[in-house]
Amino acid sequence: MSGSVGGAEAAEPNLVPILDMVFQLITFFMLVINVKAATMDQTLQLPVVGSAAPADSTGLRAVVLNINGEGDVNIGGVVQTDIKGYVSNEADQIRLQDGLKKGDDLSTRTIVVVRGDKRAKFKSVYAVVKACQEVGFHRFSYMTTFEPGKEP
Amino acid sequence: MSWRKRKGHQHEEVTLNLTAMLDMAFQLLAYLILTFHSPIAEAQINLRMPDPVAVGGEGSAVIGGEPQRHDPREYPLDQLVVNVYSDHAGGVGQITSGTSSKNSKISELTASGTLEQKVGRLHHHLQGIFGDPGQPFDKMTLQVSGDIAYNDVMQVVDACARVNLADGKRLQNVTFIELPAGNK
Repeated sequence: MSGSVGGAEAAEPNLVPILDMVFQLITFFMLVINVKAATMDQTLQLPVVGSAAPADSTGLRAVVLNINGEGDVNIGGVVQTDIKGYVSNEADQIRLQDGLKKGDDLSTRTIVVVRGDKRAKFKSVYAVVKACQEVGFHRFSYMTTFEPGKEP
Repeated sequence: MSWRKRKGHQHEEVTLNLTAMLDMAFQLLAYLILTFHSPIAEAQINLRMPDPVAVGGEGSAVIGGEPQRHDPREYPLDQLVVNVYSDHAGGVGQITSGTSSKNSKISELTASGTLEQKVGRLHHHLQGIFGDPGQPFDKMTLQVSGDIAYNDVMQVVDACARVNLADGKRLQNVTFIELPAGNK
């Protein structure tokens, strides 16, 4: 920072260190930001199951379905009213990408991640699961959460 | 930032105004901080769920809303069926298990007590069946009343998913069917 001694000279703060620091912070936040989290509805209250395994990446393509307490299905921030149409379209796209035929099992490369609110009724969740099964998804991951204080 | 630039014999000072860049960087930083969510610890229960085969008889389960009635001789021999009925409050009531329309009731084990106790007894019961090498089962169908809370159903599913088969592997072939309304 250069200060002024004479009356006519303007004070000129050195902004380089602060700019460096801000860029470092931006870099940090961009690295830790979870892009996958955008597909997850963070307002859901997941079921509390004490002995479930911590969530890990399976390396499979994931179709994430959020089901709220009223039974509405939220996918990528949009409420889907035609869930059968949606999963059928997803299945067709995956088959097209992977060169699979209609009716082939999709469970070798794709997993359906069900994030259901614990206040939902079973029939709401089952309707979604059944729609997925009908189009060839047979591998499911049911997301839960840990009891308070028992997180790994 | 400033540096000296040689131009002929004269020394001219070039000053770069960083204020605008700093403003933009601060705005970007503010956005990232405001939209940042710390990751929540989540767990998962992984299941392989083949297409369900409804079991008729007493429960006469439904697939796609249509009542299905199967000849007991058509039931897969390696599939154990567990029926989970709701109580009046939308929780887990009675639980029965069996392989055919003549389900062997285990209501003495699971009709009373807290959810935790019921789930514990169910797990113990299932472990005894699936852990026995003499039993043919390696799949399970959960027939569940539709009005039970999802949280309670997941406690039952967890009890099933923790069961070890006779070969030491975890039971993963568990599929669901919704019991028709009024089956309590």
